[in-house]
Amino acid sequence: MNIVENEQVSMAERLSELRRRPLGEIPVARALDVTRTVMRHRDDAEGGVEVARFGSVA
Amino acid sequence: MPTSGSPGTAWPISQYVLKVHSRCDLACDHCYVYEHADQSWRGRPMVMDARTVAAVADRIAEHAATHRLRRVSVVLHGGEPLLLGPERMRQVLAALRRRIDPVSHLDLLMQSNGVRLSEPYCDLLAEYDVQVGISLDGDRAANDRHRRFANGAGSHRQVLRAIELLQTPTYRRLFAGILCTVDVRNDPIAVYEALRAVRPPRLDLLLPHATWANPPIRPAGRATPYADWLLAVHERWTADGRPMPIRLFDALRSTAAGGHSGSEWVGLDPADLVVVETDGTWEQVDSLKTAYDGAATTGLSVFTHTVDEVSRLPEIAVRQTGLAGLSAQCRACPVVTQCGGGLFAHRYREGTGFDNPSAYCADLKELIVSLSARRDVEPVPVTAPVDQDGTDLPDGLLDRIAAGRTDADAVRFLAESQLAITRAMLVEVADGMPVTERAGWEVLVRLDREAPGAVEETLRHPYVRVWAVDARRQLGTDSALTAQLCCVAAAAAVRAGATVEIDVPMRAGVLHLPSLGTLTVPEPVTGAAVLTVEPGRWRLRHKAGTTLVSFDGELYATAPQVTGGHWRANRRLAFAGRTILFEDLDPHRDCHDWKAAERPDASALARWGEVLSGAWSSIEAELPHQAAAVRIGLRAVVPLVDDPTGTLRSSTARQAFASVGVALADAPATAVMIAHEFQHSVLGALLDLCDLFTPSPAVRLTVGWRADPRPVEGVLQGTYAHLTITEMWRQRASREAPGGPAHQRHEQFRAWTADAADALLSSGALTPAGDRFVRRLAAALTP
Repeated sequence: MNIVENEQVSMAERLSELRRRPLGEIPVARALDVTRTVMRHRDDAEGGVEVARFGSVA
Repeated sequence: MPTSGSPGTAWPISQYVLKVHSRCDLACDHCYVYEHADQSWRGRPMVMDARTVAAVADRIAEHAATHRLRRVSVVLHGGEPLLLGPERMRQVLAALRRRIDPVSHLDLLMQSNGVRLSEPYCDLLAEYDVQVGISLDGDRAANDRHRRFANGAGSHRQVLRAIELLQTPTYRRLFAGILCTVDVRNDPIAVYEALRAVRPPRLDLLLPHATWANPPIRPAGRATPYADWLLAVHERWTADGRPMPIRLFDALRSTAAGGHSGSEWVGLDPADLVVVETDGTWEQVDSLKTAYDGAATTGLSVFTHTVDEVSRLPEIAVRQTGLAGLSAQCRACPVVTQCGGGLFAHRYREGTGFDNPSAYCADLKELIVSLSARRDVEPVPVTAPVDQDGTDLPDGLLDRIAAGRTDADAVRFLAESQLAITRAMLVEVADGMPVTERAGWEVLVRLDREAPGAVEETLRHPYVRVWAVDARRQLGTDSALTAQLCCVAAAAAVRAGATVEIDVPMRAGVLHLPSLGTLTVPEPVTGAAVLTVEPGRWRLRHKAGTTLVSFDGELYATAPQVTGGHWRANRRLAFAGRTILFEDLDPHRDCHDWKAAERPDASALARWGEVLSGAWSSIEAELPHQAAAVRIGLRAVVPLVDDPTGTLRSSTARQAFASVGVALADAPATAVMIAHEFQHSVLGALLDLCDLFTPSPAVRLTVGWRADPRPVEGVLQGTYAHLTITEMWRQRASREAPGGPAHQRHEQFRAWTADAADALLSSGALTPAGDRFVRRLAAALTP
């Protein structure tokens, strides 16, 4: 099975590939691409800022 | 349209800085509390007394409940908070946890100079789950330039000892990071190398507080010494492969790509924080003390004023207005979306107040422009374009979901997508772990080939993804968290009936196998243990001995024989002609808006069974178009702690697809809550695949069901959930005489939903797919 390399493939298609491919054969770059995409509004979630002390990310 | 910062609006405040001790055991000459314009500390009580702590906790809890804040953070600050002493510190922590925890997730933090940190203190902070940030300015020469005791002696040795303590495996999870105040007279590379050497999980570089009235030190002949200094650090940090996050650089990277800064130092994000002094007075952010005497004063007190009253103050509200709150010069600047005018306090100039650029304007601009121009800077990761038209989704899916007609096929499609995302996250987590710690991953990979059904069933557990999201954020900093991948693998091995031997992490004598249950050993051991899984039996070898578990046939169907420990299996309850997981064990389930309840006893569980059975009957009768989706899609219910006032409670965690959190209620109310939360889960999964809106921190919309203006995503989620609730009340109203309570509820929800849909459609924040989604939703309101 070939991972589709075309970056223009839809998210649904990318996920379908990840779903079918054995875990050990999923390219890290493809996994990272998907997680970054999914977390696009989460890793820097809107809301308050973090003050100049360390703690939870807003 | 009300936006953030609108006059008179009570903005939700989620961050509180508590000055629990107003004195410090260091006498740093760059400290804004004691050495700058404001000298109000001289007239304050030395410590925050128990009555004041209780009042603060009450105010925060009351505000969190009113605004349904999912999380609040409280930062213990000073002065030096460790001067409180362990006993008084325990009283403060207990009071905060006791009052706020039942209402909202409380993140407790402390910013300390570290000098008095000790093992007993660390044990106490671990007991109350307090994250500790340490202030360190670099190598000995750099740190001791300013961070000195009153007798002139440097503090470097004591601070390093504190950091060493926080680096030990027992306390590592408490270590939040290091704050370093920049001094351009220090060598940037020496400072960077010294900070890197102590392996902080995070690092922030702070510009020393300054204003136009009290400008930064600038060595002769250098126009932008702070930018130059930071750029030198950035260059080395990049060459090193960015071994730890540096918040200032990460914030500028994010804003360069149009994202949020997550920092009050740069960017346009709203700043939702207030300070409480030792005497209980509310104050604005304490960095304002650098501007002029009394700059942070509000004139309000925790004994007489609510957080809402503080939040309505114009000086608090202006911090929420983004670009509109900046000076004309800033608004016209090409880098304003990245710079955001710098730290608010640094804008002060006599005569014009804070309506100025930062006193560091030239440095910030140079830093931003230079970072943008550097060819060697790794660009912000660019993800493949996300569907904004809905055209990448299966035919008709968007319309069916939007109209409240999510069918079995739609929910299966979403569930498969979620499983694929979890798989991607596992790959990322495994790739980020040291090769020597990947044994669990290797087991999972093998099982995925040999017993894919067992792996699939394990990974569909909603809280595996919650763990994975946490783990990917903590890669390189919390090996105990990432090691839980072994627990996922072990759970899959049990399901597969495979034979494996694997190192698993134990915490306080507990080993949790996601979706299966929890094994507790007699001693509270923490650290690695060896789990041997064979068909029908397990053996766990740990620091305190060996625990054996054996069972006949299916684990679910039998009560295992356990020697040297105690096994608590996950329980399942009847729902929709099958069973769903009643999740009261997984530590990652505690990610909902309210605290997860402890495991109920047998009689309470029986009551839950009756309620869920009745709730399904209601859903089946009142949501005929969606009942099949709920039946197929819902995998787990997490019991939440009851609201002290008896108010209904339910919650969906964004990363826990197909699971809902609910506090015990009667069956009809539970039906509404499950239907409501399942809608959130469906929409969350859709948002993973398709952009329905463009995030904008400054856009807030008013809705009928909440007092405070809400971000677009919140309004979209609420509107979508209320579409279903409107339908349920319409069905209930059809069974009673006109004018009854169900008719009133139906009309109320219909009006709220219609008005919110209108607000969304006129917000300018929806993508083409979002516009179509909301129009379909609005159309579905009219039967």
